[in-house]
Amino acid sequence: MTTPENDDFLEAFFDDAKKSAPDVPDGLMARIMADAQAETDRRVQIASAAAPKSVWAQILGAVGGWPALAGLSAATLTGVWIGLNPPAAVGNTLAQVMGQDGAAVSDYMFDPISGFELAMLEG
Amino acid sequence: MTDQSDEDLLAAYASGNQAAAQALTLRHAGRVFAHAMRLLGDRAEAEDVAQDAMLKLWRIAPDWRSGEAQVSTWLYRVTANMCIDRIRKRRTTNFDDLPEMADDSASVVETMEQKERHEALQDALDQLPDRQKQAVVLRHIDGLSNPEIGQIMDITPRAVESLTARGKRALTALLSRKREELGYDHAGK
Repeated sequence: MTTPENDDFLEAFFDDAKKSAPDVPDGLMARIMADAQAETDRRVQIASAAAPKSVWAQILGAVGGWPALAGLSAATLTGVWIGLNPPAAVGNTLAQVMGQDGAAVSDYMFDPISGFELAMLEG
Repeated sequence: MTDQSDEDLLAAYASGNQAAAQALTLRHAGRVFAHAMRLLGDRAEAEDVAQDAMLKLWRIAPDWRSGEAQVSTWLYRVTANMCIDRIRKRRTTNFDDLPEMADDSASVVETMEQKERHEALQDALDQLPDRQKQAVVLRHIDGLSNPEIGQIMDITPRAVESLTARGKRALTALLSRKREELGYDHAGK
């Protein structure tokens, strides 16, 4: 049963307990702060993964990233360079393919009425 | 930072401000640890609980609904729930596996008598039912009001009063036997 005397008696215990709050252990504050930082980092990571990508980032992703883009650019520039300043061998071959060098080539390459077109005319 | 409310600090932390987290840690971590220590009577476990309770606060920060609860009340509630879970698990484990109740880091200037009193009080508190212990610690050691305790424990202030009264009766019975040997005379001090 609680009586004033008992209350005083208990209060003395409680007062002692209040006066001597346990010391916060070394390192606890640092660990709590490290958790706070880690939680912030985790949220940032989730947010950046969920954010919509720009058109440029999507194109980069589609071609396979920066290394693939570098390869593609090198190939394109090489093609343009060959087109503008072709080596001698490439020039002759091209002329032959286009039918600009010799009758032999043009006789074979030229077909004024193909078999297919004749077949179509005949019904 | 020190003059900002807990809610403002939590909102600042949610937007990435680590100084706000530090201010909240300085404001609450000691109290959370002390509360866990009183409920559990074990320093290492109280440390784990304090860290986990603060981690829960960091995790809920972006979803914190302003005005619904006080950060301190919420922390007391989370801490107490985690402590009660641990106490219940202990009861299902072998008593030989339980950690020592002694507090190794007690101040060196603390007298043996004071230490004995702390241990006697902790011993007596540990014999109370969980809810009674929680209510008595919150009311008489942490110094919270009955309505605040009611919010933490999800009960009415009247129910808090009833719990603390029963808890005090039990504590008186448990401690009165040790009264003289602990250095309390009949006048109560």
